[in-house]
Amino acid sequence: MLGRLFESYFIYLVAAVTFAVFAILTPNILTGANIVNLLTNAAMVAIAAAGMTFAITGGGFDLSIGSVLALTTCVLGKLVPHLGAWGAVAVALLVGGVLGAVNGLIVTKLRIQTFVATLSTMIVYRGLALIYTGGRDATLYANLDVKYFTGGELLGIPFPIALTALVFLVAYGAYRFTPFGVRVRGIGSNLAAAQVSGIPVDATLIAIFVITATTTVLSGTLLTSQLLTGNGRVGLGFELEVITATILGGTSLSGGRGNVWGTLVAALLLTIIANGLNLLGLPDQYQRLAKGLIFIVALALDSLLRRLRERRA
Amino acid sequence: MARSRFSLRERGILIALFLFWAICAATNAMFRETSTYLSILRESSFVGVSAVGMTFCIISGDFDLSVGSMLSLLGIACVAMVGHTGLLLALVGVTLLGAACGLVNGALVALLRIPAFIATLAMYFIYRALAYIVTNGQPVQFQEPWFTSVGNGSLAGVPTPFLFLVVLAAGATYVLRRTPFGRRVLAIGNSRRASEISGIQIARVRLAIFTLVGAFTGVAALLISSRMWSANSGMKIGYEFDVIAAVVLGGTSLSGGKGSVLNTLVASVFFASLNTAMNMFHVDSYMQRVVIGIVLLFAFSLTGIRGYVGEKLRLRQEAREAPKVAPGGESVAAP
Repeated sequence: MLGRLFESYFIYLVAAVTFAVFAILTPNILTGANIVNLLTNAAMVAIAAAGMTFAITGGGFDLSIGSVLALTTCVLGKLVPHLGAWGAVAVALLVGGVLGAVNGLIVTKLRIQTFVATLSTMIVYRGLALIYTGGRDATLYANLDVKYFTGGELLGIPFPIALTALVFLVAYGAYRFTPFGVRVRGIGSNLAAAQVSGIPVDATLIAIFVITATTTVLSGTLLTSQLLTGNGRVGLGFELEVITATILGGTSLSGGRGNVWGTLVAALLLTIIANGLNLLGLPDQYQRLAKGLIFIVALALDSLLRRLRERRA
Repeated sequence: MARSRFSLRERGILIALFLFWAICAATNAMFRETSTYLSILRESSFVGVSAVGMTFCIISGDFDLSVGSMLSLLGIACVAMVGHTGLLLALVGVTLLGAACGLVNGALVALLRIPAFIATLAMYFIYRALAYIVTNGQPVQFQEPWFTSVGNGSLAGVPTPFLFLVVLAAGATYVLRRTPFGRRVLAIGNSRRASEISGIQIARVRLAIFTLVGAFTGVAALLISSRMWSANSGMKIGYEFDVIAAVVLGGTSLSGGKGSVLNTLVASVFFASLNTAMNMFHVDSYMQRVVIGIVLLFAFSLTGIRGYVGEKLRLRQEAREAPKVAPGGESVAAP
């Protein structure tokens, strides 16, 4: 019982303690401007991680999202001047949906493991992003419409925060209360049983990849708004950060058990750490090292909890 | 199924290589010169050496995604020490250092039981960050001819790195086919449960496999840094994809249990040929990525296609023997 409680709320505790520690070390973290900045950065990871929660719960992965993120910035960078911000975002969502569907088709029809399939498309999609922009920056300094996505407000709430809340409410509803959520969990916990019991496995898997790609497009929209630039080289390692957030949030790598709110808190935690290390003046490469080590700890913890669970069962 | 060793499947990549060469030779004059092929063999070795180690890893059902970052770290270590230690000690040193890195990966995977691709993905970032931190982002160089001749020189007309590759591949083939260790690697890849039940110490074998991958990557690091006269923290990004692609294109099954070191070698030569051809035909460098990605997808789907055909054949046979058997679904998504 204590173990289960510990398992469920551990991440909230860690996030609170980490925030408190950084608040003492660098009081700057508490300034209003920094909090908005922090939440915006957290939103980028969190929104894509909401999609990834479905992928990992379903027993798979999507490694191509870093490239989808890069492609999104390129599409927006190129198209916002022609179609306006909302039109360009609509196109980007369409592109993301198609790329996600391609991932899903490769996984289900060519029968490649999700891991290697998305590893390959990760290379291809980034190649497409670079070809599309010719490897150059597509800047939006002359067109500040996109600034709304990080600077604007929706119903009085800063747009990134409102968007994150919306995405997570929808994700939680879909995960918990819809047949789709049940199917994803079913596939993740026992693929063979899911097939035998008549779950449309292929369609569900394709849907999962469409979700990971489109949520990533939303993250990419925030990123473009922040950078005001489309570039085929951004988002290297984004997939790692997103997968870390998902696993740290309590979604089990062995599939079948997701935790949507945990993902949100973990994304926030990772961003607090990055933000705190930044304010403390730690160089970029040390931050990467720290992130890698945190990732390892999260994984070891996941593996430990899994074994505890097996022992209980 | 007798003598399947000589089937098209086993020699497919070799036939593909010769076909590719024939097409290139027919369309491009450069592909009619021996020097082109020698340069292809040289380039193939830099990926091939690490791919020989990776063959063991993939046969056993695992992956190591950290080899590119490891290579960067090891290359830096190699260049930094070779001036003090001399060539032979540097080779020993970098191989041992590689083995140590591999041991860390192995410990995460086999002892902490983190899934291999995720653990090595984390190490991918850690090794590269370390490489950056120890050099502060600056390249390290060592330009004495006795060092650079290893990667750039030839022995009896054959590029030296390729000699390394041939010797290591021959040794690895022997280990895989003729030693108890090799048999354990194959057994683990075939069925982890069955191996466990039959008393194989799985954790120990996996630890050894990752150590092996690290050691081979150490040798590759020496060859590459010698070829480039230098090493830096940004070198060979994406190397792990080339290495895994060579192994998979060589017919080693992603689901484990099957594989051939020699086919990995041939596939490395194939990839080097593809790269050379794309350069000769002036394929845009961004387009080259897309082409490589698509070849990769094709290589990865080979396993699936084979499995699909195999399953269809099996089902047909089963249907003939017992018409009421329900079709058993093959796993498609679980990584």
